[in-house]
Amino acid sequence: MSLTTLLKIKTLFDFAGGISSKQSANAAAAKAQEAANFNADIIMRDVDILEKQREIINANYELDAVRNARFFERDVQGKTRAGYGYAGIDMSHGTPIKVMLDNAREFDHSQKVATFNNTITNMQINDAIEETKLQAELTKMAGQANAAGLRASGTTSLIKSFSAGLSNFA
Amino acid sequence: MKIPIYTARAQATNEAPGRRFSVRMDPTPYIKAELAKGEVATALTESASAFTAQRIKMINETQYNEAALRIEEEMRQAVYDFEKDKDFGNILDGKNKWGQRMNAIKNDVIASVESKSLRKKLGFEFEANEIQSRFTLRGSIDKKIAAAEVAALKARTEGIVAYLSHPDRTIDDFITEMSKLANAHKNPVKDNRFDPAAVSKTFNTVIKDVGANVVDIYVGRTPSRAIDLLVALEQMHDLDHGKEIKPAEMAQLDAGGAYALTVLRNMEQDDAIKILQDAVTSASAFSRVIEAEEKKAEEAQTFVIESLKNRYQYFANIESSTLSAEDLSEVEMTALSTAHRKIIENGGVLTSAQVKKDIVDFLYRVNEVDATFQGILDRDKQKKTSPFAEVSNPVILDRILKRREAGTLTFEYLEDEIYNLSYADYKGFADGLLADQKAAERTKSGQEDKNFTALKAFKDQALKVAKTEYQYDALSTDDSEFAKVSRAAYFNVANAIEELFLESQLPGAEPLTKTKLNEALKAAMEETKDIWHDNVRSSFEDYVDTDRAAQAMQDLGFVFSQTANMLAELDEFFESGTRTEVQMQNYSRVKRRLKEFIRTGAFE
Repeated sequence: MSLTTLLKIKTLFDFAGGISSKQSANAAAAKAQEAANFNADIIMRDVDILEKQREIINANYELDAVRNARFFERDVQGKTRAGYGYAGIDMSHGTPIKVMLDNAREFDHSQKVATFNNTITNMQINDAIEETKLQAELTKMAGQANAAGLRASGTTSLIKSFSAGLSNFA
Repeated sequence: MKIPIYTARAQATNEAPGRRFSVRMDPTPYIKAELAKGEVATALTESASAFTAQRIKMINETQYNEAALRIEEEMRQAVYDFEKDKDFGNILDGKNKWGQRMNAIKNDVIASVESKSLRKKLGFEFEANEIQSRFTLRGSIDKKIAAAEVAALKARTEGIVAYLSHPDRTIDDFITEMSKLANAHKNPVKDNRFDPAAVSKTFNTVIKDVGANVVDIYVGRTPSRAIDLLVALEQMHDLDHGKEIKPAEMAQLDAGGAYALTVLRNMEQDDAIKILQDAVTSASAFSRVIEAEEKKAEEAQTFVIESLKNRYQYFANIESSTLSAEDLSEVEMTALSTAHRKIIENGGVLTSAQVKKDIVDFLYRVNEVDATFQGILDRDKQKKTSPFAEVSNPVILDRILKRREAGTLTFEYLEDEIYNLSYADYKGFADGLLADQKAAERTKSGQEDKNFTALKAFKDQALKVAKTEYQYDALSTDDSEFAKVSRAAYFNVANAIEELFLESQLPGAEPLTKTKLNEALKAAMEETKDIWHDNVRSSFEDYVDTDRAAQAMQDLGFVFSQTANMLAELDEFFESGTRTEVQMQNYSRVKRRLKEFIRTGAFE
């Protein structure tokens, strides 16, 4: 077999090796991307959970506000009036009114704190949702980068093989 | 009474309605799996590629090694060829044969390699080798150029020596040629190619060689000329130092002497004196040799004259015989007239009378007929010619043989019996006597050299061989037929040996060697063999018929079968019966004689 024929054969083998490397690198990149997407989907599921938690928290808040107001009016103020009335104390002037006003002020304060806390909790949930979305995005991007690296490595192998193949005729 | 009021104390949870999944998909195994899938194919192609690369590398290395080796060999061959090339002006310069050949090698060898990179590499290697080889060749060529220059100057120097060594040259020629030689050496000395001391030495050698040649020619074989030159040289030396010499006292030189003197004056005085001494020695040796040659020629002339005078009587005795070239010696050929010599040289024949006349004419011509020889000539005129007998008289021949062996045979005795001898027998005995005479003369004159002594001893040895072969006993008084046959056979061989020995002593004859003597002995014995055996058988028959003991054995019933088995047959016969004492004696006698006969080989 002549040297030229051998050189042609070697070049073909070099090309084939490069193409094979490229193809496997592309497949690996696809797998990397697929895994990243999968992971991002799992992370995005956390956003739904947070939304549902927000709904729960807000519902509890509304419920607590109503229930607390009814409880305050019925249990605290009613019992106060009943005590004063039962004692024959005129509840229209002096101390009974003042106690009931103080009670009402305390109740308002509690309601405002609860509202404030609820607002903060919502804001925290918002941040958590945002963080989770970013996490998912980052995962996807990492997958893309990994895939791109693999494809680049395949391309490098391809180029190298072409270079090696062509260098035979140099 | 206080009516119990139920107040719910349950609190709704604010917990999230689900758990965050911490599970994550790790892509690494999938990536690895995909990459691993690709690696199989990649590994396969890489293996195939590596295998192919290995093959390519092997082929490349083989081609490279072959090409590199070829380059080295071709380049070495080129260096070898060009080192022998006499046209060194066109190797690296001029036509640049080296460059042409290198291009041819490069194109040829590098084209045989397929790989471009290899070609480039070989190209670099070729250039490196080429430079190295070129410098090697340059060194050789420089040496050759230097050697050629030295050889050219040497040849020119030798030419000048030869030219100036001619006796016809003049002083002006000497000055001109020496100036030319000096000019020829000027540039090489200036360029430091020649050592000035060596050039100076060469000049001295040239003058010495010319001086030696010129003086040799001038002096020749006259030592006095060398003496005159020496005197003249001393006088010139004295004149140079202011001494006055009168013209009458100046050495007189012959033609060519002045030139020889000039050459001698241009060299060291010691050298000049040495040359003159050598010339004297050489001239003296020449004189001695010439004297010796003249003496030798004189002796040769004397030998020729004496030989011719001795042979005169021989030719006179066989006057009516015809003679061819084989019958005449070199000396006799010298004496022949031109016409007669032509006849002999062309295979013709002359009569003895013609040869005799030529000898006499020759002796007269060289003025060598003295009173004694004139007396012989005068007597010969009055004497009748004596023809030889057709066949030698056996009685006389036997008598002569005995005398010859006893050393008492003389020319006179031979002359007296000439009528009873055949020409061949006469010639044989005469040659023998002549050979003895010459040998005696040489011994007497002290000219007998070692070679001659050795040949004489070998000749005697050959004669002994013949004696043994023919069972010849010189001192025997046996006159039986066998003894006569033995004696005749011996002398037939002895005469051939003597004749050859005599001819070798003649002037101009080819020198005799042991081989020639041996060949002559064998040829004579071969020639004698049949006659000898016939005579032996005849003698045997005579013996059987006449001998008493042989007769007695035949009377008892024994038959002589005349074969080589006769002895065994005799023994068998004799032992077959009871024998008397007389029969025993007869048996012994017959057996002894049978041994003699069988030993001759005649019954083989």
